Amino acid sequence: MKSKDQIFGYSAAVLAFLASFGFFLTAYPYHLVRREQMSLFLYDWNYIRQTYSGVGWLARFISDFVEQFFCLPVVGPIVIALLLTAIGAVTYRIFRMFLSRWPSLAVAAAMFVWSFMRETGNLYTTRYTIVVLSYLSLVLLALQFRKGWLKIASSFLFLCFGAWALGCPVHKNYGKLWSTPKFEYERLIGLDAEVARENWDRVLKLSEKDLYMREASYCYNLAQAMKGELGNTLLNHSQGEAYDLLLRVDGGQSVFTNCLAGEAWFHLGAMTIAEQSAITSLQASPNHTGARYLLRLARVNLITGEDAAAQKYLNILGKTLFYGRWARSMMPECRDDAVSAELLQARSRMAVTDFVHLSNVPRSILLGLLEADPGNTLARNYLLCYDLMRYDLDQFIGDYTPDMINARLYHEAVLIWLDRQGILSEQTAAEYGVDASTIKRMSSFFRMPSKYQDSYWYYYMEALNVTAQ
Amino acid sequence: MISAILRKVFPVLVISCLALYGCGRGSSYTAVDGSCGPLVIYPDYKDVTIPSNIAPLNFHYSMKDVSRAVTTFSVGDRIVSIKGKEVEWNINRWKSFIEGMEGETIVVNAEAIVGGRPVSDMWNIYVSEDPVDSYLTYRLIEPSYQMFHEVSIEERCVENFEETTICDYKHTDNACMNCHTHAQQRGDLSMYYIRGRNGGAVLNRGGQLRKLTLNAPGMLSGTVYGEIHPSGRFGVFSTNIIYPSFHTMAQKRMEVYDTASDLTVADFDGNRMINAPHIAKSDKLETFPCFSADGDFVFYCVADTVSLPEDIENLKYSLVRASFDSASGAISEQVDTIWSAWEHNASVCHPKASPDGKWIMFTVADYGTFPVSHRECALQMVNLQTGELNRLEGIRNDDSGSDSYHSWSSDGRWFVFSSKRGDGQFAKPYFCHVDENGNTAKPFVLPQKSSRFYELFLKSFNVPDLGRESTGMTVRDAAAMFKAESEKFE
Repeated sequence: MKSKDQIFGYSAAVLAFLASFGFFLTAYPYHLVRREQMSLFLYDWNYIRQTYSGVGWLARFISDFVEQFFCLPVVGPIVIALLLTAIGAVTYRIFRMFLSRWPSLAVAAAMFVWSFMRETGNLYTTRYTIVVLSYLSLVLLALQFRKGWLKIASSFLFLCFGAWALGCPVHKNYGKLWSTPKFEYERLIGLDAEVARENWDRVLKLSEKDLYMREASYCYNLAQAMKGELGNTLLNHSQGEAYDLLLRVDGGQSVFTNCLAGEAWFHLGAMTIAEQSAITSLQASPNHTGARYLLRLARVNLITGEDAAAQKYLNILGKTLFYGRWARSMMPECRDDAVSAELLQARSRMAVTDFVHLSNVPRSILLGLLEADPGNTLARNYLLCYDLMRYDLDQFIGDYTPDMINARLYHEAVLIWLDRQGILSEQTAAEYGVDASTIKRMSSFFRMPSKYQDSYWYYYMEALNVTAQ
Repeated sequence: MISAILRKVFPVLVISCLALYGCGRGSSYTAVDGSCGPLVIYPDYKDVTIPSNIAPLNFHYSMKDVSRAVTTFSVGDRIVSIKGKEVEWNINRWKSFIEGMEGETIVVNAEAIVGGRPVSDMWNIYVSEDPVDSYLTYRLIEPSYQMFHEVSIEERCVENFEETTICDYKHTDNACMNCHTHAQQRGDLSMYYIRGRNGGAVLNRGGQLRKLTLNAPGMLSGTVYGEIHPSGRFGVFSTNIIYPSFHTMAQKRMEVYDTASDLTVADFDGNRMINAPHIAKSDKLETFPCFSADGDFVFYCVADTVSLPEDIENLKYSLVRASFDSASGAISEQVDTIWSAWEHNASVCHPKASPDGKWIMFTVADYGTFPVSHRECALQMVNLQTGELNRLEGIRNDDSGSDSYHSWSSDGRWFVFSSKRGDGQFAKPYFCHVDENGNTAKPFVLPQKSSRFYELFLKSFNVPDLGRESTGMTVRDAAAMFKAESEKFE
């Protein structure tokens, strides 16, 4: 009978483990990655003493320790599946003392499902699950004592220990009582994670479904720009406003948008905006210590030559398990020639002329970056696309001619401009790097515009139609 | 599959546990802002002047490969030796060591093995006869000027390591809050703001708390910067339209400027705002008002308006003084220029008058009204009796971290200021002794229980303000004030 019960229990546990593991591995893969990005665990006694003191220290300690592994593929889902399964198992063991098998299983399943659903919450942290599991374990432990007075005394002691080491079992800060998976949000945080990893192909794939959203469209554009394809693909999907090409960083928008906004500015070389983006994101991480943002702040300060600030971030990251090697390799005494050259190259992209702005003047900022480094192709592409989206062909031609980038949309725009100047010919087009086949394609466009909806001609024509109406 | 995964995960877990075990052993820190000398210490407490009532000066040797360190503190026959790389005192031992040592010099002898070689060093710590005010309030916030999240205002007893939260996000629905300021360093006369919905100015007068809406029709905004009159009846404030913005050059980081600003006086007894039309000129920007020690004058910064943000580098504030009628709350039309922006080709902010009425100290930057990201920014003071300018060269830092937001101790012999020296990004409170002639000693950073505190701490100490005694305010008061109805001002 007992072995039957055990087999039954183990089977239920394995099923629960596989279900939650499979879910977080395949359907919700970025949820736990983001949790790691927003937390930090340092292998430093001073930090541990400073950070994990007061009520709930143990739960916070275990949570941060565990979450550092979530940057590894598979490990996060394993850990969470184990914790959730353990909650179910411990609940089953507790109720099995009072109830028969099926009611106990029903309660355990309900507890498992409840914990599982809570785990899918956007702002949920592993600590909440650890607190639930730990309290359940303490209850189970207290129930092991047979003598009544011992049971009462141990319960009291365990409660005191729990309140001290785990925190109050019921607290408004322990996450929402109920959550449901939000797959659209999951795709967005996936985009954010892949943008941070500079995994541009994955960004393109992930953004496909959500291009109607400003943030997804921005990530798609950034990935195309990083691949040097922005001038060919800008109009492959319906773009929002010109300002959505490069998002601003300000207090009026969400932390998530501010965080994403910093990514493009960082790659372009606008380090002040990138730094503020990282700081505002750091502020919003649960303990104000998100590893990803510290990494970005270290990189920004290394590039800007703010060695003392960079050193502070590197010292901190140097004490992490997974960023430590990188941080140590970036310290001045350990940098190799390749790293130094990379930093110098990034530094050469930074603006050399100063002006003050609200990050809502992308054209001026991009021109400043191009003044510092005319070879900054990323800035040039963004500038040209910004001109195109604002239908400002005169400025476009001015920005295009210094470094005629070979891209379909630019060539299409050049032909419109030449036509408007009344000087469109194969010869003048060739002077602007546009070949005869594009002129032919333009003729075809006029015959059947709807076939060329991804062309700049169509985009421009639509704008003219709207203006005419 | 699972066993394969476990095979991969298990070693990582084991390694991390071992690494955890080895925390602090063989750490490879590089000093961010260490001292000079053969043995580099952080924080730099070498040759500093300290008050006898300060908390233990805990520090660590921040060089690589330091071992077998022995630090000996001696004054006459009083000798204390501390072994180890981290020199962290037991507070009672420190108190009994420093007791009655006013005017004495502590000689510190240090010996250690660095990179396999014996190294020794020696420095002094001068114990001043002047005690410093026991309490310091500050706001803890990331160096972001665009957003806020989970901000708190703390009160630290500088004689030990006790820190009490006066107001925090948990008790105010994650509202933003502005820094706490004492009037004449009094614990029973002070103020801070809770911003946003349910917000208001929380006035602590004689221990009685009130929540005030210091905004009346015709004002540009609610009150922003200001100070309470010594009588406790009035407060002088600026009203500002503030824009946070970016520089394109990375080294300059952020710029925050006002597109409009005025001065106003709040009458806390009459619940009215006294606006002075002669000050509210549209072609001038007025900000950072404060009272003289006797309350007979108001000092404030004033600049000509310029086109912003384009001409930010031409935005330069002068320091002026106007007389204040403490019966009516009126500010005179007649003003004297104490420090001219035109003459110095620079800009002044955050003036604070010394309690003895002798000095007015302020921050000087090349331009603008936001010194915290101006690395050239430094403290200066003017002798109000002679008009002589003291550039306080002795406390300048040569690593381009801005010094700003100072506060006087009640005896006028100490001031604390917020400095980004070191890492250049996070402001920390520094204490500095100043004698009756305006001579300053080497500043030292607020001591912390852990000698590595500042290396791991990722928040700025914003607007440190000294108080003779504790305000007695707690987060419970903040929560009650947050829920309380705000008193309207007309």
